[in-house]
Amino acid sequence: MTHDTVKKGEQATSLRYKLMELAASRENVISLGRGDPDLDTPAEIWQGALSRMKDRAPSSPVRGLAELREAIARRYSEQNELSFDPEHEILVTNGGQEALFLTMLALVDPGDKVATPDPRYSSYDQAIGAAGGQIAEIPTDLEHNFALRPEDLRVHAPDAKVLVLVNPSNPTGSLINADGVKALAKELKQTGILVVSDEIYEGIVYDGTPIQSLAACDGMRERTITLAGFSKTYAMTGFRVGYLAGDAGFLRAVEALKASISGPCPLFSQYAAISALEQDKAAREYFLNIYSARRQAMMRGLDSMGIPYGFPGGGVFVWANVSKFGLDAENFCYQLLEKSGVLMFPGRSFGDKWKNWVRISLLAPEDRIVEALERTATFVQSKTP
Amino acid sequence: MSNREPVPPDVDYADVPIPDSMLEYLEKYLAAGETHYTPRPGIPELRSTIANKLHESGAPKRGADSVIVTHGEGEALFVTLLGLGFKDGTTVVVDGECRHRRLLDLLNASVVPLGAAMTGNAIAVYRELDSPAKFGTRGDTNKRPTIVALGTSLFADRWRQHDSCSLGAAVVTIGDFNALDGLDHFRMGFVAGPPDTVKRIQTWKQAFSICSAGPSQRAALFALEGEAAS
Repeated sequence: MTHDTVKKGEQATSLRYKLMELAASRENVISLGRGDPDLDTPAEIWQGALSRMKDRAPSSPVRGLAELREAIARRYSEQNELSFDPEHEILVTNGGQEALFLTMLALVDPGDKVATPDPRYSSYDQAIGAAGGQIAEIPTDLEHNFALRPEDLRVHAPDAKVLVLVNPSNPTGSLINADGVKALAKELKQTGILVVSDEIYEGIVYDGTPIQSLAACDGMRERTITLAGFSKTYAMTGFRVGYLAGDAGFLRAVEALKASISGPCPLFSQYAAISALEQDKAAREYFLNIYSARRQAMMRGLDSMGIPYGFPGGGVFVWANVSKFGLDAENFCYQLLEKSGVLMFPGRSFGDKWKNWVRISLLAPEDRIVEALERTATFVQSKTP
Repeated sequence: MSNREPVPPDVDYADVPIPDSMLEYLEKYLAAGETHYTPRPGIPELRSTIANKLHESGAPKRGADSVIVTHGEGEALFVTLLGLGFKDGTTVVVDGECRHRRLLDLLNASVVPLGAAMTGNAIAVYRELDSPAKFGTRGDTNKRPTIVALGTSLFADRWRQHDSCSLGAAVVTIGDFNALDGLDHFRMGFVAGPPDTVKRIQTWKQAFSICSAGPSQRAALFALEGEAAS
């Protein structure tokens, strides 16, 4: 276990939870903080699970029901031009978080470097630290819309064992497009770096931009573990279903850990995931249309206040710079919450150097987002020099 | 890849039908919009119910903040070890049998029997309720936390009054719900103990899997309380 890495992860999480506790103690707060979709899971999805449970309740292998693994493999084949053997190359987990934690335990040995773009989803820090890994941050910037570039990888992580890449990004909303992913693949092929490609937001990509799976790039399939899940694309956070797709030998090691720690994903949750894949196209379009409208409202509001932000190509977050108001982001968030009842998360909870940035989520109804931005505009007027 | 040895998984569960009344109960909560993350340690009513059941069985009287809901007893042990400071190579004292030995081996724990000469740096003593070791007669003089693995016993009919002596104030108990009809399909477990210790363990539960599946938690609550859970 790497103590500093674990401690940083705990501190980052603690910062967010202090704000959430404060928000919970107040009335009429508009929360643009957490990554929990405000929208309920479509009824067809959980109704499908109930029907299946009435029919039969077989035991599930640790790796997940064959029917679910086959459906996941079919989806990859149809939409990502990736072929996975559902018997050996797909493993169902209790959400993406468990998938990442188990992957780190199986992949990382004490002292190994794990590269991540900075800023990063810091909730993964404890997993990396628990495996004894050390985080190697790869800087990104607004100029390049927080996208990881091949030259950055070369300079900042030449000796990393693993790269964890979340695309579309949490917290920045940055999307590395197909050309960018292919360029990264070309660079990665010249290294020994293994990649955990976290594609949990692959179903939320805007403007019709095609999503490019890293594993589908030439020469990357053997060195990439793809992580995804149902929480974000289908608003199924409460069901806790994620999955890993990749090398059969590696997944056997993950499966052994999973068998000893948590066993198979709950049957009801797996059945809900099967139903979600049956509703796939309709459910995806439904959520994407809603998030697209919210994103437009968010960008309009930030533009009207002159707040710089990264262009959100995918996912459910916008990463914005609030330095012009004379407060660091932590004070900005506390004061905004106390005076205006709007919850955003300070950038420092996603990396030490992001003291002037905030993460804003799109996970509130559009009218509430508009109201939150109006409240924010009133708040910042009092702060504008 | 890590040099940890792959071990063939070997988990099996009974093919028991799920009661219709449980599914109707789940439907009610799902229709009400309970499809999101639950509170990270678990649904408060379920945690209170577990705390009360433990108290009835001999543990100190505590509230929901003394309990975390997990995905099975294995996850309960895993996050408990991490919360107690486990790291690669840490020593864990095992008093008697250990059904989680494979997990300890995969984590590269140094496992020693109680009373062995090298137990001074161990982070915890692990015991099982059904272990041949006799609770209360083999105290650990080094005052390390004791993890008592109850397995299915707490919610099974075979709880024995003399088992209660294992549930002292400093003990962290772990267990599962698999003795309840249909519950093994929902993969539920728990950690319970002194609230300050449980708070440390909770940071690892959250880091590992955020929270346990909401429908599974509701199913556990229904199995424990029946219609009263509504």
